[in-house]
Amino acid sequence: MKNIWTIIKKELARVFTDKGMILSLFLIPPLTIYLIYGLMGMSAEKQSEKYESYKATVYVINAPGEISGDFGESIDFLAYLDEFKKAAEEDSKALQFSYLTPQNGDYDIATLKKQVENEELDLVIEFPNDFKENVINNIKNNEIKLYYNINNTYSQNVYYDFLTKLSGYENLLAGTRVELEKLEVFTINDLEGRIGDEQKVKGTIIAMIMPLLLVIYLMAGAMGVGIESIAGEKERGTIATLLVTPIKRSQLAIGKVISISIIAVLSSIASFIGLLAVLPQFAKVAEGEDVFGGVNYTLGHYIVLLLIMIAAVLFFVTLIVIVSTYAKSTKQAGTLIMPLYLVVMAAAFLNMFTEEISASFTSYLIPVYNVVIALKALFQFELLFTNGLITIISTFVYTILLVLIIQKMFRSEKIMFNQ
Amino acid sequence: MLRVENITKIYKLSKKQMRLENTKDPRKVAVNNVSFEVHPGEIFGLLGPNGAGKTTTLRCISTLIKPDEGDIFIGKERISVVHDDDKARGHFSFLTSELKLEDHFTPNYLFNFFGSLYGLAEDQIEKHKEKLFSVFGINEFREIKVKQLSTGMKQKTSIAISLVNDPEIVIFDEPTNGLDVLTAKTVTDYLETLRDEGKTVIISTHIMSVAAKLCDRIGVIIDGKLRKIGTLQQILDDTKTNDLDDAFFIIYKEAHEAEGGVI
Repeated sequence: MKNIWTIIKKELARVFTDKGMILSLFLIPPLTIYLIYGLMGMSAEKQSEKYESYKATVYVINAPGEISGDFGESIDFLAYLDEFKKAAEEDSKALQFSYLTPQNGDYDIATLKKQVENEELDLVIEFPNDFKENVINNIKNNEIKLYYNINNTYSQNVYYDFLTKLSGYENLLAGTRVELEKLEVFTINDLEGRIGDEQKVKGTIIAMIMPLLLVIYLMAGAMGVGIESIAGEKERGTIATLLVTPIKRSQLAIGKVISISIIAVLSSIASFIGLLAVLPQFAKVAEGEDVFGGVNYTLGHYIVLLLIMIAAVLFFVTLIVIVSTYAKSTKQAGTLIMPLYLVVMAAAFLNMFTEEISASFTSYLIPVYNVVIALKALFQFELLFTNGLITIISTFVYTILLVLIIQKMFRSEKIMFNQ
Repeated sequence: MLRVENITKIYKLSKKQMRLENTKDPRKVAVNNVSFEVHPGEIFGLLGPNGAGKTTTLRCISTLIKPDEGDIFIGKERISVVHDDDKARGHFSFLTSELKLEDHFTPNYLFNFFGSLYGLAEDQIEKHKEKLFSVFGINEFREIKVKQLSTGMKQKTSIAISLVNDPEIVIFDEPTNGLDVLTAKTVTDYLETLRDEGKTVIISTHIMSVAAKLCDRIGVIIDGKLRKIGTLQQILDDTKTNDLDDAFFIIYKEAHEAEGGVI
């Protein structure tokens, strides 16, 4: 035990007394996350601000004047649009627009289309000449033509917005033909219809993101230091110096695994802090939706989370140590570790878009995958005690088996001395 | 005491190595049935050209590699290096240029670290440190990181650290290799001191003058086989020569004639 502690102390001292290591393990990752996600959030926010402040120009050809029927009020299309214009002045999130109509009734559709293409106009609405008569006489195929620029996102947004407006206009016109009371066939009341746990709804969102982030950060945190600690020492010839001391190979392996795990956990916590710091930026973009607030996990949840994380990090570290021990250099270790990283990422990503929680006992025995599904179930308040226990115990058992393999590798002349 | 009994070590060559060595045999017998004893208060030298099997023999003794046949025993209790390597490692120190120190740490930190791995108490570590740091003049740079030290300083530090446990047996692969004259003198003088203290010292060298001056007994190893063993005088008498250089050449010639080869 004393030897294991001596190795751990040395490994920790190696990292915590080296400015370069501190920078690369604990400062650069969270800073990078903060900057990248922050910039992404900022640009998304700016984009949404741009949309909000954008004033669209719509050209309306043959705008129908007042149309009245037997039952509803008379409706003028441009007056209908004016109501939206007025409403948009008070609601910053609504589409700001102005419209143009042909002077003296003259227009050239080819020129207007060119203007749409040149982004001078966002949308052209062309009513047929006899639109009003067609409506009154209930003629079919009363076609309104819309022209917009598919390469311009503003133009596309205006198009979608006006589709809704035109649909509303259609409903109003329909109301002039029949009694308004008859149009209302039913109403929907879902005000008290939300049954279930509101926490679980938020838990589901967290369950989608968190297992992925936790698994990736833990693995990434362990990779750098795991490669350096074994393949690096092999490359520099310092591991052989340890191998001629009376320390048992098993003690050396366990000491390395524990110290790398501690550093990996601290490094992933640092990355996580970076992520948490940048979350408000995202919340603003998501219109103030507070994803992480309002979910009350119990102490039990946190304890299980901690146990799963410890089991997972030990497992990842032993995997990395095996690759690192096998490799002849840090460069080779880095190359060999990539497929493993991809497998871990794949397990996390596959689960991200799966709604249901696996109840199958055997799923919780599959290394890496069990950690992801157990975390997902935990965040969704649906982790069964037995499944949680199976995940933790099986991951610890796999870790022990891997440590035995590391021990064997440490004894192999071929592996340790690259013969 | 150290007793090497009929050890044989065979390496499996890769295709690339086979091409380099110009052979079709994938097996290379690095050490072939070698036996010898080294007694307390004695410096034993394994003398041979490059690739003769000196370093492989020392690596087998130091538990870094396992012989394919034979065994090595340490001390009166006859601790088997092959079967009880963890225990055996507590009784010797091994130093070779292959073994490096982590350059991020200071000599003082590393001495304490290795002392702790040998299970020494803090006061024992301090006592050994005081003695060894003073012998090798390490006190001046004891708190400077290894990466900032000169090659000579690094070598002195390595030697001091390898002796942290005040071992019964000192194994030294090419002790003067790459050392400047002053450091080499300090090292050879200290090996003599260790012998005088009753330690069992075994070194490998390809430098005749080192073997002649330093070793109480010499084992001449050529192509993995121990060809001659004895004191300097016995070897000179056996080969009817006046110096070790001539004696070595005769032994080398005989070895090749015996193997049917040419020099």
